[in-house]
Amino acid sequence: MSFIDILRAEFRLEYNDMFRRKSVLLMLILYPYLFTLFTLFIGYAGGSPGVFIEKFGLNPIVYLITSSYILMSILASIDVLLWRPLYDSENGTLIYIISSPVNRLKYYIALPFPRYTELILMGATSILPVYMYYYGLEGVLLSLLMITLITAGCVVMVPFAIFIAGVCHRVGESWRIINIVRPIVMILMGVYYPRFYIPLIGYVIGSLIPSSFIVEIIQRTLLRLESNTYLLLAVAFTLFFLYLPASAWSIKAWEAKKVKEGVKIS
Amino acid sequence: MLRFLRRSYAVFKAYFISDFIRSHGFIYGLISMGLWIIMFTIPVTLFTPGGVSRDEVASRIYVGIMLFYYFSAASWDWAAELRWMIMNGRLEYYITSGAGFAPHYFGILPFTLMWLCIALVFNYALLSIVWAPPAITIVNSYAFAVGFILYTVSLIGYALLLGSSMLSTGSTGYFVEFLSFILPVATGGLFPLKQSPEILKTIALLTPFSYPAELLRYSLLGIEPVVSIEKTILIGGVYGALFLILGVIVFRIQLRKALRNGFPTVSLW
Amino acid sequence: MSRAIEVEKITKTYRVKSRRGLFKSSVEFVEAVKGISFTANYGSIVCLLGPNGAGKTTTIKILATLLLPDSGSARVAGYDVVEEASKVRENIGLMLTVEKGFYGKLNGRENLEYFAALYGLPRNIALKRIDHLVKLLELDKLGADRKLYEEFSLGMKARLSLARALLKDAPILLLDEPTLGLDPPSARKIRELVRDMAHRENKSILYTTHNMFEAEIVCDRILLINKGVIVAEGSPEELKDKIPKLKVINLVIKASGDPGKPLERFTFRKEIKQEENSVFNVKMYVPKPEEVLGEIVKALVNSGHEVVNVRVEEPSLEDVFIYYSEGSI
Repeated sequence: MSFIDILRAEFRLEYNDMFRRKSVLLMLILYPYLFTLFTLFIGYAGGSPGVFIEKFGLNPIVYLITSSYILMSILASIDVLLWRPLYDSENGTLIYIISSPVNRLKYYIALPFPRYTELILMGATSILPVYMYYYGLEGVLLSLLMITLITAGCVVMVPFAIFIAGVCHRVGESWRIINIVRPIVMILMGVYYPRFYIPLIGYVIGSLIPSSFIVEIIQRTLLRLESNTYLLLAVAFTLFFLYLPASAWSIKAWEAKKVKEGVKIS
Repeated sequence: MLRFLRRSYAVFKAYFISDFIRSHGFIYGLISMGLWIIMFTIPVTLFTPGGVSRDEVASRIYVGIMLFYYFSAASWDWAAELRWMIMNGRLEYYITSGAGFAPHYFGILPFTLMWLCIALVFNYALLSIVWAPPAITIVNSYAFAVGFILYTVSLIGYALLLGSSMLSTGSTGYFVEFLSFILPVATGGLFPLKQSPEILKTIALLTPFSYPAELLRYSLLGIEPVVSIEKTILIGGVYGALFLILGVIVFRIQLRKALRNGFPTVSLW
Repeated sequence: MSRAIEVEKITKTYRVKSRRGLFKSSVEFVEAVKGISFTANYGSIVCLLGPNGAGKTTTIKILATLLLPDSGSARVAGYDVVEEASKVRENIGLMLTVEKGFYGKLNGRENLEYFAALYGLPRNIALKRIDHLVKLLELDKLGADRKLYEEFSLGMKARLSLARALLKDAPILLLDEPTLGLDPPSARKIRELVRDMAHRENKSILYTTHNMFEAEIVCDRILLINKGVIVAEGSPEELKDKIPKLKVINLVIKASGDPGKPLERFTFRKEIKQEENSVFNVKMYVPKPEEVLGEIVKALVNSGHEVVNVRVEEPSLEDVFIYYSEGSI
């Protein structure tokens, strides 16, 4: 089974699901705004947008919509990897996937591809209009750059997410562990609070997460801070390749454990 | 009455043993939610001017967290539990037991309050580590008690409305998540209305939640509500009671609709 | 004595919306139950027998007050299922899907205690009743009273589900496919208990199944239901007697080629099933087997096939069902 065949199957699955549950499509469009409003009004509790503009020279809405878009994009693409084994288990499809000859790494790498198209749509409906409002035509170019960077950020996360999924699903009630891992990853990536402001220990640990470098590039660009863009990109992609063998091992080990225990339908 | 209490106790006991003692969901959920809250609230430091007391900022965040958590409990424990009951095949047996839904809500309420207390202690610790210890004192215990009761009444009304949509449509989890985020913002749950833009003040004061929320903020932080205390209590009380009655009526209508059309199948998420 | 269950021309139509794409959807109306009527007495087991989608579960749910009928009326224990639902609920024990309906993290006994409290049973009565049911259904021997429900086998789940249905000691039991997916010993145990409930404790039991064999051995009266309509009713023997007198010629053939070819000139209904490589089982439904059997065997032998075994049998309940659902055998 070629990679293209797997991609075709996944696109069909994802799009059929999305078209039949329009609420999912609606949420993809609304959630970046929802989180922006949420954090903006938390900000009101402690201070004012004026202070933010004074500190960073940037409208907080631009910053927060970008952060929310980053959050939603990365969650959307890693969730399909983190939750898929559990979803297949609940559905009863896991037994058929495990017993199939498909190359596991290819299969899991293919899984988030349909989501990349969805996050481009999400970018077009979230950051593009906001950037256009504040920056005009320059905003269009800036949003395209951000969408490209975030897509790259999602791609480099794939082996890391596969590795985490394989490790977490070895324990019972793994979904509870994953629900803790997700926010930790988001905090360490510095999605809302830039990681270059957090204590050094947090920065070092966060550097184990491939897309944290791309998030840093995005935030430095927005805040007009100096950044070594090419170096950060190189590190992110290096980590992508470094995590590949770990991810292959992780999935293999998880499947071996499942087969040893007996693959059940949850 | 005794039967009602016995039934409510049975619901509480089943939920307590199942979700707290045996599944650790309680603890994991607490940690997860605490981390998400920290992620969303720490950016407040980007909005605070230098020289502002960190304790005071932490206090405001803490009260916002308290109100948000209680709101989330109403969404996920009270309303969405009906969705779990449909998925697990328990709802039909619950209905044919003849117990009615009052014991269900009454039984879950103490569990929620217990969870809320533990969650607030946990978040106090987390906030203290990440930012600063919130300086919380009860400035006015009467306002606190009234505010808490009115907030509970409004949330029960909200949970009935949301729960009824679960019964008749099997609303997706996304819809519930959306509501549990947007409503606390739109209803003035998270921040003092005095500091918010006019448009938000107007919208918030149209909902029953903002009045008890203002009372709670006043009782814990000393921040005066946008309308007088007496008016806040009066409007909040009347509004909350009407909202509860509306919730009961809509719930009954939707239950009848579900009995007419059959209960929905719900998706995994 | 009043009847336990009285159903008069109930109908139920579902409105099913299916999405065809991003903006397209279609609405279909599915008539699940089309004006069925029947009664059930105390001390008897009435079976609703039919294939999947026949309307069995819909009927049970209407009687259990979980679904409102569109028209018609139904009374359970003398109470109307729509107007007096709460009274109906006091008088029924219900068993729907066997594999869920309990708290996964509670053990069998804790689950029963929970439901006993919901049913309003006083605690001392509930505990005694649970002890009795745990022993009766051998839940203690299987460890089901101490194990968490999520660790139960299907057989244990079925027994626990039946225990819940019996908790209230209600006079009427509504059991929807109670032995579905069970192994033979567990299924037999459930069937024995059900028969006991009806005949010793004078309960009225409405039992749904699509298993002909089970219907024949468990039920006193069978209602054949298909596509929302009751097509026939009676005891198993009465139902078999109702169809035109047909016998079944059952042949086992070692064929060299297609065994159907020499039988083409016989216009009776046939079923030909390949058992092994060249071994076939042929069933033919004929009114007078003594007149045609010789011709049939001759035709097969002349075509080079070997007739290994011949039997003439009475039609089974399956044949009865096919007759009523397809109009002929």
